[in-house]
Amino acid sequence: MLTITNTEQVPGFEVAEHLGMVQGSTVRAKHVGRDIMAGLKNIVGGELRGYTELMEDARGEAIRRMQSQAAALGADAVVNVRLATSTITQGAAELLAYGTAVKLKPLAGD
Amino acid sequence: MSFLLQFILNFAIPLSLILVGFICGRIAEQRHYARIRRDEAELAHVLTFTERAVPNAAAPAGNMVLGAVVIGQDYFKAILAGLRQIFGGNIRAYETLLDRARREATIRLKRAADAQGANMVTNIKFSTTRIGLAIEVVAYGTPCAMIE
Repeated sequence: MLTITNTEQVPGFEVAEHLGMVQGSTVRAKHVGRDIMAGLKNIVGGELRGYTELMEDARGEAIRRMQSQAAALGADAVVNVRLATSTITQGAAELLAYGTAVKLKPLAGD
Repeated sequence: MSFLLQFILNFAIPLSLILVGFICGRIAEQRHYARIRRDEAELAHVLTFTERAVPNAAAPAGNMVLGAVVIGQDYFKAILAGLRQIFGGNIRAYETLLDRARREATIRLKRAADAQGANMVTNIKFSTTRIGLAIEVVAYGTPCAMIE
């Protein structure tokens, strides 16, 4: 499992080699059942758990795709990861994860 | 009879939706705030930083952690916000909604860090997106642990 961080460095390691930017994205549509529940929630207010799960799932998938791209490059970690979400069309969202694939070596010294 | 039917369709249904929205929305908000306060107190030992650098006294503790929540506005407040757009000004109804969403996302982020044995999260970023009629807030950061 590759290390991912959204900081520039991985604590305890230094970057030995930059392998370039990697990214992973998913475009996910919601289904009708969840839509009906969401419609109800928009009357009473509150968390839309179905959507939260859906987005979490899709974001996890995007991150995994990014990681497998990095793994294919022979990276040890992906640093400076950023997440972005945008609504593409009615009812579909794109989830993007991107970062820099790097090779690490342990910090010299004590 | 047709007058009565028309009255129901035109006024009674929207009005009852507004009333249901008002009551349920209020209860949902109060309960959510109570839950937020309780969870925040429970997770107070996990420190949060917006600094990019990991503090010197800390070691890495696992992968990037996330907290996300999708939240919807109630019908009453949505109507209220619509009215607000005529006069302009702050829409309080959405300010509290986003406050709830952001605090809930932070709580989930902290819980994820806590589960990995971390007691700090650095470089926290927020992103907010509209999904249909609802709003999603994501918080993410890098967990680390204080070196004794």
